[in-house]
Amino acid sequence: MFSSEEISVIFLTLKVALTSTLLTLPLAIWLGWILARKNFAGKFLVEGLVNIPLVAPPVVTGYLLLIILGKNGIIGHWLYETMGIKLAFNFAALIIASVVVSLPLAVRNIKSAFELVDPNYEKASSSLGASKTGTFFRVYLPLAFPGILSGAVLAFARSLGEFGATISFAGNILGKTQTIALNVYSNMQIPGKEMQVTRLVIISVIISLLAIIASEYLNKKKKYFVR
Amino acid sequence: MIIRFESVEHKLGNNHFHYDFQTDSSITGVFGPSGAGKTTLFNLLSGVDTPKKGKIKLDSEILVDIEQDHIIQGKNRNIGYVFQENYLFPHLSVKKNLLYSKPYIKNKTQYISFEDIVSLLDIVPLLNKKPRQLSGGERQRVAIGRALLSQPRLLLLDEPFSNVDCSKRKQIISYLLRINNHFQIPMVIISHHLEDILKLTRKIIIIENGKSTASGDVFTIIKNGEKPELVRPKKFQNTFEVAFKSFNQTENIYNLLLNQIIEVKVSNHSRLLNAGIKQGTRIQLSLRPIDVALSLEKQKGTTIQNQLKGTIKQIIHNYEAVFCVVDCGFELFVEISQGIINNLYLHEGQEIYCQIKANDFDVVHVYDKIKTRENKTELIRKHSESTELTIN
Repeated sequence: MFSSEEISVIFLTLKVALTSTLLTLPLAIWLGWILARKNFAGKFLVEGLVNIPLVAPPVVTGYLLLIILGKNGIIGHWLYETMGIKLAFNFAALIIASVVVSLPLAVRNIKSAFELVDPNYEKASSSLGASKTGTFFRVYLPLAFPGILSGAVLAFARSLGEFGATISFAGNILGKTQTIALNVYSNMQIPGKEMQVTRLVIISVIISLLAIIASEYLNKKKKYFVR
Repeated sequence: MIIRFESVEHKLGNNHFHYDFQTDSSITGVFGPSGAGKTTLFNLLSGVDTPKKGKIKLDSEILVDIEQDHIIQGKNRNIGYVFQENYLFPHLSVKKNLLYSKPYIKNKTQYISFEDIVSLLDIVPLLNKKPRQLSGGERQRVAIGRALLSQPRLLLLDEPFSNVDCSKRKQIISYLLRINNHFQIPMVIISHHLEDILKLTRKIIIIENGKSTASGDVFTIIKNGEKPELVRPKKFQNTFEVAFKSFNQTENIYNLLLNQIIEVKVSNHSRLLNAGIKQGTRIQLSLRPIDVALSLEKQKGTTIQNQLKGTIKQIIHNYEAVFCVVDCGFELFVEISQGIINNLYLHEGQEIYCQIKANDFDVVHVYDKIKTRENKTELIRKHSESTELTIN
C-alpha cells in the first residue's frame, strides 16, 4: 500500500514530532509557569520572544535560525569551529525548527492552565508543611496536567505540519530531512505522483484530526478537573 | 497555650491593622464585622503574611519580632489553618487530602492519628470521594481533619460556619468541641456570628476597623461596659457546661447539674441526648436571653419546669434592648423590654425567679468521656503503638 519512501517519510515525521514534543514540554512547562506565576524584569520581553514564531512567517523563523545556528551563523559558526557541531540541514535542524515553532503554542496553553489554578491552594499546601517545590509538583502540576497534555498535543500537531522554518533551516533532503509536508510539496509538482500525494495527505489529515480531538477532549477535562 | 500579639502593625493597600492582645483559652473566638481584619490576624499568626512592626509569640516562642529581624517561616510554625474556602485539593480524593501532610510530619510529635480523625469527624464514608462530591459541611470536616493531621500545636479556623446551613452549623460546633476535648488542641475560631462563638467559648478577641479593641471573657467585657452592644437580641447566647444526673422516662426530661448543685431540667428534643448517657457525662448547653422570663415570685401550676432563684446584678441598656444579668449561682443574661422594668420596678440587687422551659435549652454537645480528658502523652503513646502495629 505504501512505498518504502512513503513509509520512511511517515516515520521520520512522527519521529521528529515526538522528539520535538518531548523536548518542548519541559521548556514550555518552565516558561508557562514563570509567565503565569512570577513577576520579573523583562517578563514582557520573554513573552514576546517566545511568541515570535507564532506571528512571524515560518520562513522568516527558519531564516533567523539559519543566521543564528547555521554553519556561518552567530552561534553556529562557533559551535562548528570549537566542537565540530553542525546544526543546519540535518535531523538536529528538523528538531530545532520544530521546537521553535511549536513552543509558543505549548507555552500559551500551559500558561493558561497554570493561571486557572487558584493560588490559594499554595497557602493551603504551605500551611500543611509543603515547600514551594513540593507544592509545584503536588498541586500546581497535577492541576494543570490536562492543560499541559493538551499543550503537548498541540505542539505535536504543529510539528507534524511544520513546513516553512524546516525548509529554510533543515532543507528538503529525501531520506534525511524530508517530512510528510515537504514530500507532499515536492511530489505535487511531479506528474504521476498524485496517488502518493493523496495517500500522505490522508495520513496527515488522520493524524492531525486525532491530535485536535485529543486536545479538545483534554481542554474540556481541564475545566472539569480544576472546578 | 498563650498567644500574644504585642503592638503588631500591618498595612494592606490603604488598610492599617493594629493588634495588641493576649489569650490563653483552650478555645478563643475572634469576633468582628466582615472586613474588620480577622483573616489578616490569622494570616499574620500562621505566617501567610508578615507584619510591618511588632512581636508575635506562642507561649515563650517568638514567631515574629520585626525589631530583631526574627521571622519564623509559616511552614515551620506548626500551626494548622482551616481556610474559609477550605481549599481542599480538587484533584485528590478525601483520603489523599487528609494524608497530604504525611511527608512533612516525620520530625513532629505525632499525637493525632488518621484512624482517630476519620472516626471522630465521621469521614469514613467520604474517603474515596473527590472534594466536588461533598456538601459544605462535609468539606468543612475534611478540611479540619486535614489540618489536624499535620499534627499542629494550634488550630486556626476561619469562618468554619460560613458555607454550611444552620443545622450543619450545630454539627460543626459539636465536632469542634469533640476535637478540642479529645486532642486537647488549642483553637482560635473566627466568626462574625457571636452566637456561634459563644456556643464554643466565652473567651473572645474583638476586631473592629483593623484593630483589636477588646479581649477576654465576653460576659466580663459586657458587664464592664466596654462593649454593651455585644449583647443583642437573637445574637447572643448563654452557655454552660452541665453534668448528666438522671433521666425521667415518664416526663421525658433529663435532669442535669450545673456547678454540681443547681439542677436544670432539659427535655429530650435533641438527638444528641439519649437514655444511654452515663451519670457525670459533661454536656454543653446554650440558652437565648429571650427564652428566659422573670417573675418576682415562684409560680405555681405552670408548664415551666425550671424556676431558678437569683439576684439581678446589673441592668444593661443598649440601643436595641434591655438585658438583666442575673446571678443564679451562675450568670444568666435575660432579655426584657423597657416597659417591664418600669412595671415590675426591677432594679439591681433585687431577688427574682428566672423561668425557663425545659425545651428552650439547646444541647450543643455531649462530651464522649465522663470527665477526664485524654492525656496528650497517652495519645502520643497510642499513636506510636498503632503505627508499630501497622508496620508489623
